[in-house]
Amino acid sequence: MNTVLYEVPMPHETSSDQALVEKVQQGDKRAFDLLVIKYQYKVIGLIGRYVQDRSEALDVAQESFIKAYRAIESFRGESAFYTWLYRIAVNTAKNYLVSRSRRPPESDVELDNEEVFSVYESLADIDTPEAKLNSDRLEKEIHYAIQQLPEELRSALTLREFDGLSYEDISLIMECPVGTVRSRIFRAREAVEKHIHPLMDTGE
Amino acid sequence: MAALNENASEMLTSLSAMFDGEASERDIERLLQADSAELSRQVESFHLIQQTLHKDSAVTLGLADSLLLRVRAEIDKEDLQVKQPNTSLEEKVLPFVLPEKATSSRPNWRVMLSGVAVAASVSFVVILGGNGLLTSDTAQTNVVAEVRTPSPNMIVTPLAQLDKDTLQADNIRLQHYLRQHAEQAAMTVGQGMIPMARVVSYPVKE
Repeated sequence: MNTVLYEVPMPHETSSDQALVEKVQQGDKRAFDLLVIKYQYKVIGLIGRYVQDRSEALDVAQESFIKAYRAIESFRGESAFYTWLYRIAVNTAKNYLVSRSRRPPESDVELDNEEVFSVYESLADIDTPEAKLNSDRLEKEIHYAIQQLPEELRSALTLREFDGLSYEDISLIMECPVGTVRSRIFRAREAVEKHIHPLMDTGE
Repeated sequence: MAALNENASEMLTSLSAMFDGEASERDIERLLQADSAELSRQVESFHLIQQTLHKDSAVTLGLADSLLLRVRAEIDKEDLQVKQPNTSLEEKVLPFVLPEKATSSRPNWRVMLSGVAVAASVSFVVILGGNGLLTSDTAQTNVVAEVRTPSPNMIVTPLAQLDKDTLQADNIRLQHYLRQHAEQAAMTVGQGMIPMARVVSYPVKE
């Protein structure tokens, strides 16, 4: 399988993560759900670098999140939440390999300037002709849907996704309020999602 | 109906902002009221768009729900266990163990053998290094011997043609040099005493 490396802008480590963490520390489990929702793809992708089996990677990802939940009381926000979660996930993946008498990789996946594999690309049992066909078709449709977006929506989305700019920076570039940027990015995503929704349903 | 759609739209806008790390306190409050499974499905589409924009085609669907549900179920189960008195405090506090400590109770022969191999390598290097020092002393002694077999390019005066006083002076000077060298060697290496003894017994031609 061809491995394509690319850089994905890190999710901004803002106070929203810390706010969610504080809510979890106060006993709000739904806040932890949001953290799982936000980071599950990154964590599965990271673990897929160590454990190249889909079901095993899911098990390890689950265990990583459980460990994070157990230890979240000790998280004091000295590092970004994802940095902390990243270390837990890497250690869990290594422990898993050692416990299965498999050798962990010599070096860890770098967090800085992270070259992120696809969430699933290193997971062996995804590489079937059907999956490849579906993903190719989906990619084509996403590109098509993005091309069909009105200019202001497409610009806002690409400035965010390609350049990793903050909403504030995008608002300066596009000369509009931050609230408008927020709305444009969401509307762009919503339009693309509507276009690919039938494909996602068949994929399940 | 319109209000319902508006609420859903606001909720998804908040989700989009959270996905980008730009969620406000209000966004978080709104998301906490929403259905997690629905949020997870929405984030999946956001993620697909992000992946595709980054030229990555390896995408698979339907994974997110399962992970979220599994994590949530496990947390709920653990919370029930935590309420029981026999829960291990250590397990709650320690987020993870180092890979070396995570192995089973079986002895790890590979690790033990590698330790022995490292110790043997260190010993070998020490012995080799010691021999190297001794060899360098011997080599210096040999340099003295090589004076007797000069290279053809050197102009050498036969011993018989040399003046006796000159020869005597050369011998004394040579003795002096050798003694200095042997003393130095004796100071630095224990076996330097051997060349020292050899120098002391060096025959001076009368």
